[in-house]
Amino acid sequence: MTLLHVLNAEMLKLKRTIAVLMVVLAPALIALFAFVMGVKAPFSTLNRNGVTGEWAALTRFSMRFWAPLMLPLFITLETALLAGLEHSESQWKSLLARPLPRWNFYAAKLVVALTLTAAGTGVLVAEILLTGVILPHVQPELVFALPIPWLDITRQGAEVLCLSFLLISIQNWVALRWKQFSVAVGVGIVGLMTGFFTFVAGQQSTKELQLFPWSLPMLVLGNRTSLDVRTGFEFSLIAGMVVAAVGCWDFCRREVQ
Amino acid sequence: MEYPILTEEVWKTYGTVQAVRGLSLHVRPQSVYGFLGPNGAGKSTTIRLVLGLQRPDRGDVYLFGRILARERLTVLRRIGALVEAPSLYPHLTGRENLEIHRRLLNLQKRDIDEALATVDLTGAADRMVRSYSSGMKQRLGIAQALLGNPELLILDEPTNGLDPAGIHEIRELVRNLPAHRGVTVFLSSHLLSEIEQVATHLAIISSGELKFEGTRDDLRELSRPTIRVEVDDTERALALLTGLGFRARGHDGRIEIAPAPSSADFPNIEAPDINTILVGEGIRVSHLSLEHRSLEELFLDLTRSPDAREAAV
Repeated sequence: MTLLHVLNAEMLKLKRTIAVLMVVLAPALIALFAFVMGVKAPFSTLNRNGVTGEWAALTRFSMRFWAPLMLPLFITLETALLAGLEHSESQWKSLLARPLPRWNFYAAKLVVALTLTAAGTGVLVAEILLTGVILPHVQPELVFALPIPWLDITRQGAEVLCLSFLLISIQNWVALRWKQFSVAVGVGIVGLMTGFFTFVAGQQSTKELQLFPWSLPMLVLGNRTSLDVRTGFEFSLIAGMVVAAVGCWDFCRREVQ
Repeated sequence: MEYPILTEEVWKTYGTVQAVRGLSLHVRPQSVYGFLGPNGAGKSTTIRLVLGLQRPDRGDVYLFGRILARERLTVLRRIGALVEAPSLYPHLTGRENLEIHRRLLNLQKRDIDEALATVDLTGAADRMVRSYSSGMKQRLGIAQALLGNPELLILDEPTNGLDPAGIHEIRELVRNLPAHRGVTVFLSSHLLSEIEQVATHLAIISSGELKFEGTRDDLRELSRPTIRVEVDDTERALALLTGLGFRARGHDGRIEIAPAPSSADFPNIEAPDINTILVGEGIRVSHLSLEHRSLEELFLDLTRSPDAREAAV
């Protein structure tokens, strides 16, 4: 019950922050890129890798930039910004002196980070659908068949979100654990780069390499050389819960300086 | 008596630095308890220990008669605190900052208006906090601490960085809180002048150790003049005076006689009487004077001298 009070307070803290703006901006960049590429070079850009149909091609194109690049960056920045709200003005001493269990604050940050990521992914899905509706009017060579496969696009969005749970959990812990913004961002950038190469290596040799937290969201782009999404999802969920539990324990035992 | 704050032999060490050493505090209900000490004396550490933000290495903290370590959430419901600089979200308005804490504590909306009125910030409540002056931020921090009508208000250096007008405002606010709201105020500062004007009880801490605890009058008592005597036979004079029950100490060939505590069973005597006693025993007195100490000098003595505690308590 008290967790709801903390979550309620967390929502107000987001007011006028860049964290909310990013929910719209980050997917908008992908959508804009897909739109421009669709207009300028419709078939060379969208219809590749054996994907047939404009809807599938547009979704894949968007996910190809969202899952390995924009999503990890988005999660890194969102978690760092959320934690930064408390680190910057030494809020912890004021918050943790309140008669509320400490784990509430940790859990609330995780829930808000998940919510923002879900919202960002939701916006991306909406923008893919919108792009598919607008694009044929600007580039008549592209034919987006009806009915709109909104369920399939939404499923891919949901998959990439579930696959990123471990990543969110790690970044949330790092951002809350270290006061410096640069630590969280540094971990995120290194993870992003390593994740990309690990995913490629995993496709070429050991599939399990794709269980690297920053590689997991890329499973949504998978082909026959990839781990299946379900395995990735289960791993992300279980490992994410473990990281959240350890991070929460660490947060609760730490002394406030 | 149920003390809002009672600490028993509390110790806290950071690495090799002993920040708090065997601290025992007794904060009485509805008092303004001034917690005084120079920078780095251990005041903020003590406050963190009292709020459960840190754990003592040894000793216990009791709040309203309950052990903090066991019933943290229960006792924190009765406490509001401002630890060092106020923790505010600059991108939100004053009212929104209070709204965050109102939501955390699940209070009524009207509690915000009440707290804003208490610190006289109603007119500026809807302005962004980033546009507030230091004094306004400090008052908003106090309003935040007052939310939920706490029985104990802990204010850590609330006048830090304020101009004289700001200091006056906070002082008046703190002074009136026990009477108007029935609150016990625990007020820390490194400025004696600030504490002296509002506190009913004081504690002086230095290097993590308690040097004095008592009422404001007890402290004034300590600042009463000492009698300084120079004689031809210091040892005999010292033995004579201590034998008669005087609080006499000898050093550098001189004897200092501390004023007798009014409540204790010590002879209260004037300088001429000391002279009569000594001369009567055949001891030649070459110098006799009253040494006055201001409260400030006393504070400095207490916080500097290693054996000051023995002299003071």
